[in-house]
Amino acid sequence: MILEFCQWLEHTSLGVAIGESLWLFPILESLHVIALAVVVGSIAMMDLRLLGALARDRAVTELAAETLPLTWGAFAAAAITGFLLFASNASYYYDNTPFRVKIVLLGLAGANMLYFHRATWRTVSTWDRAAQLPIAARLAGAVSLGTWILVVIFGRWIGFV
Amino acid sequence: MIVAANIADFQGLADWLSATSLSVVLQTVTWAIPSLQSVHILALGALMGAAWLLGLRLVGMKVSALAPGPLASRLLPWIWTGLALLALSGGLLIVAEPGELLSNSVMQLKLLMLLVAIGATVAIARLVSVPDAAGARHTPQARPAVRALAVLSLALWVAIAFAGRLIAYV
Repeated sequence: MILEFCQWLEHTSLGVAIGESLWLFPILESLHVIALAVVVGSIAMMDLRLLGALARDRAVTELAAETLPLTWGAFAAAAITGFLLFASNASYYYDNTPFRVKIVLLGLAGANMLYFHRATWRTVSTWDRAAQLPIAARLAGAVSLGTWILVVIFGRWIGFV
Repeated sequence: MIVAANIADFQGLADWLSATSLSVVLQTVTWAIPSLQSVHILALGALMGAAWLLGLRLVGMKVSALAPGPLASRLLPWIWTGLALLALSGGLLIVAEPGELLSNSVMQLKLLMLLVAIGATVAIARLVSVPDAAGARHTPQARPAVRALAVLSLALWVAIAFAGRLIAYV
């Protein structure tokens, strides 16, 4: 089912165009790395604040307002370029172990963020300016930082197997 | 990029580097290069996240509650730390594959752009740290020279990252 979708995708004119072009793939790959770098960097700023390692004197809500638009903008760019790279050779990536691990890690990072913003964030007004945050917030920061570092490592690994 | 007369020097340096025991280790250990590249990309993240936030703030976008000066004090350590880790991991990647990398024209262009980008960042750091007559360090608007440097450095960081990925394709 998924494999059939992959085979269909790589034979669409979009998938074929990216796969056959000499320059489209490297250009998309460069844009993907730049976008992912901005995602990881801006998320790390927030994560290290949640962990209490950096910017302990800044309000969490203020730092979130500062970093989140950049994180989301860059994530959208990384997701679009990532999908286009995938489309060029979908069934190959579907079978690639580092790629599969990366997708699972992205799901984990997303679930962690969703839980943080839906549940933990509700009480933010009580710990917004605290240097040491509640354990749930610190845990969210640790999981986020860890999963995004692994996303980069497994992403780089995709090309080496 | 670099004139032909220098190619012989690059070749000599590359030959010497590739014979060092560090280079031999990096060539032999199969996971060494992907690991160094992962560190390189993570360090690029620290630099890029900070450079974009600071750059957008300096050109006048209200991306932060902080004025340009105080925001720069917060973000410049991310840029310098990122650069140090990029230089370390990048240096080791050159030691691992000196023949391929030193003679690569995209690599040479990348190093040249890197020098200009570092210069622009040093200039930004100096300009935002010294308050002018109007106490610009804490005013919401960065000075025109800082704005121009911000645009230049952002364009260069993007071009440098682009060149980095393209090295493998030329």
